[in-house]
Amino acid sequence: MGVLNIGSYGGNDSAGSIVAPQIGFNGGTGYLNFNQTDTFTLTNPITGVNTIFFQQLGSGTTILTGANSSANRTLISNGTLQIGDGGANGSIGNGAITNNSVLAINSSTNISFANNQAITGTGVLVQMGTGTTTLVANNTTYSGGTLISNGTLRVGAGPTGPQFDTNGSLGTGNVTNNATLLFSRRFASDTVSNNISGTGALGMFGSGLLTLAGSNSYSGLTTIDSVYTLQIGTGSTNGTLGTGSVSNAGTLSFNRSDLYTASNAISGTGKLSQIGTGTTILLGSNSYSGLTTVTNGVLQIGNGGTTGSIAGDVVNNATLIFNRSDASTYSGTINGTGAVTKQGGGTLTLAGANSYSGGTTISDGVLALGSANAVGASGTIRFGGGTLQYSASNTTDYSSRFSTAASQAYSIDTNGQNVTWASPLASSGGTLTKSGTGALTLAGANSYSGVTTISGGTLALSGAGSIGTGGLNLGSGGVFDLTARTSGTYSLPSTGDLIGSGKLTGNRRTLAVLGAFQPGNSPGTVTVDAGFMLDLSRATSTTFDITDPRFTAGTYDLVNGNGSMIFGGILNLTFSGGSYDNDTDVLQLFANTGGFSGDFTSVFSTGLAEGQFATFNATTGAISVVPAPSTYAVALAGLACGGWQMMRRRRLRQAPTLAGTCDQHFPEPAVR
Amino acid sequence: MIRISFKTLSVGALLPALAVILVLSAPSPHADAQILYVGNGSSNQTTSFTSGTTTYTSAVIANTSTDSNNTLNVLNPGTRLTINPGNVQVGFAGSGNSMVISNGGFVSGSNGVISFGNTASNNSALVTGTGSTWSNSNQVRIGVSGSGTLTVANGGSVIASGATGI
Repeated sequence: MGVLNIGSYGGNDSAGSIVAPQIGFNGGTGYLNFNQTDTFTLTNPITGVNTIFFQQLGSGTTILTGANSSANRTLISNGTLQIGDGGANGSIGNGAITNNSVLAINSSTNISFANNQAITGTGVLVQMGTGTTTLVANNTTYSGGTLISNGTLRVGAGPTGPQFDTNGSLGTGNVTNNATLLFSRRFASDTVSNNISGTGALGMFGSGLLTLAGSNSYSGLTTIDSVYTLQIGTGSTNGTLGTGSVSNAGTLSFNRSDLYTASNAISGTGKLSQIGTGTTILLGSNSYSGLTTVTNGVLQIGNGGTTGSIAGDVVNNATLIFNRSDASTYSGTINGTGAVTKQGGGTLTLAGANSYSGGTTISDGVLALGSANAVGASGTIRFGGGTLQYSASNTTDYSSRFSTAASQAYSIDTNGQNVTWASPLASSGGTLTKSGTGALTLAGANSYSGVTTISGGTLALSGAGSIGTGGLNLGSGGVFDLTARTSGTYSLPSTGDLIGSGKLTGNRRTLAVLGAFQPGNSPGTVTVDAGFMLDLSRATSTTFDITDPRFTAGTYDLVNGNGSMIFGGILNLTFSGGSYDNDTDVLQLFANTGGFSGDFTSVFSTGLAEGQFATFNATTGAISVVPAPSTYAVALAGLACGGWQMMRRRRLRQAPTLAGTCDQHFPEPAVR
Repeated sequence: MIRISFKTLSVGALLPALAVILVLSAPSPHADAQILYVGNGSSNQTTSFTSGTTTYTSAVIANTSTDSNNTLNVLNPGTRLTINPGNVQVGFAGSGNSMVISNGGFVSGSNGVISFGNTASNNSALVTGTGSTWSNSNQVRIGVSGSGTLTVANGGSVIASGATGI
């Protein structure tokens, strides 16, 4: 056994020097001990085939710059053993390495730790040269972590390795990667649980499956080779991708059971797959062109902001969510058995020839039909707050696919198109909002129980079609068209009201209001088209707002147009905006020219001065503001008219034909 | 100045008990000096060269298998032990013997051998201190049969100029 000590064994010496063409170990067991406390560079080649132990025992640094071909074993128990000085030199032979301190690689060329050179121990591996260091040994288990400050640290022998090669690993410690970490396998599958940080890049070259299970924050580029799969997570709540961009020529797969957000910009020709049971949110501006596959959980594009996209086609067998606050277009094709959900306040245009069958949920914003098959060929369409917007390329009747579950907020923007729905909508508590120019025609006998709102364009009924039972809100400018309805009279159920500002149209058609009629939007106008009759004879009440004593146009609710009216029920008049002078037929609230019939059973007014009340003229459609009689006159009138009239003191008929009667002049105390 | 000149300097053979020979200085070269033995059938012998140049044809520490704990010291700047044309054998056959070159001492020879024979073990050479040099025109062999140790520390230098090096 021969021992060569650099520095005294066990001492605190600095190194000496060796001047020799080589150091050979040619018989028995040899030890080359580096005990020094300072930096020592061993330039000599080291040869030999016997059992040789390199031992870094001192606190200093040993730099090996010679060619080491010996079958040595290496123990690093102190200080640093460094291979190379930054040039194309240095090697560590081919034996196993127990590293309990620091093993540094500083070469400008390639250094490989072969199958029999597993690095074990508690120490740190440092890649500091500009070259590539390759870890091939299968049982590399060093636990002190890895620092990559320069060059490339490659794990695995790469595509030239044996098939199903599983060798090469990083040890178990954290990795600070400020250069390049490259996994290079061939048909191998392995999991990297290290936490990878730093500014460096992560690459894959070869083939296989690499699973990142650590909490990674590295900020450099991630590169995935064409037959490589990079999987994030093991199906649980671990594994992250780092923060940098991804150049994907292979497959990027997400496999977590919880919510995970990937803000990376993903480019390349590769694929992306969601296989975990959790939700993966893509926030990057992604341009990868390969197929996106959703086999489990949720893949969400955007998170309510203005970022997040995908470009290629999607096979969706689970759930695909789009969630952005701005306008975006997805032109790829969505196939599969999964569901699509639209979230976020923006407009999403689906422009692909989609065939997904799992249904569509519109929870927020606008889902624009940018193609004939935008929402797939089948599957329930659910409304949770968003709007389905038609286009010239798609006016399909989707009513048969609309959900009948409770509280559906059916919302349609016809967007200049004419659309007919044949199937009735049935949703307890459901509502229908129609917006945009163009007409939506309801041919079915709808039974949803919420309000129907026309925010724009025309809502028409055809045949025996009806709106739901929750009343009609004309919105501001909406048109309700009964032209194509079979029956001459269509009645709004007593469970709903007719409110808002808009137009009622349909020649020889009558709309009977069984609930309340409240024209205007405080204030506003309802236009009754020629040939159309608005029948209030069975209405529970009619309410008009008058907001300006000067009666300037637009300051009071109004019914106009060329249609006709049937009055009935209670008329409520709400005055505001100042003092109103007494006058007769001071304001015509019903200015429609098609004629009047019937009368209101009572007129209530609020907002007038003490001693004033309002009357209505059913012949002219106008109201009058009149003074209340004196107390004396009231007493006389009361005596003259009898007690039965006292029972009606809050109901005053106003027909001019009754002028002079007790009803006409009963001192109605203003109902304010 | 004390001059000691031997055809063969054999420490231990002359003084089988504990012996210390201090070679304070020597003429250079000594044409009649042949082999330097430190321990030749004896143990616990120390030979120290502290100045000047001394020349032998060979240097053998522990010539027999029973020789142990013998020491050759070469120290101080300007102290040169020249072995020509032979080798420096540190623990030729015995155990626990050593050569210490320190404080600028200089030893030269053809080959340096530590623990040569089958019976040799635990022999060592220490070259320590700035300027301390063990210079071999051919090679240094450590533990040829038994165990041997070469330590180079504190700026000391070992030179093995032959193709096989150490």
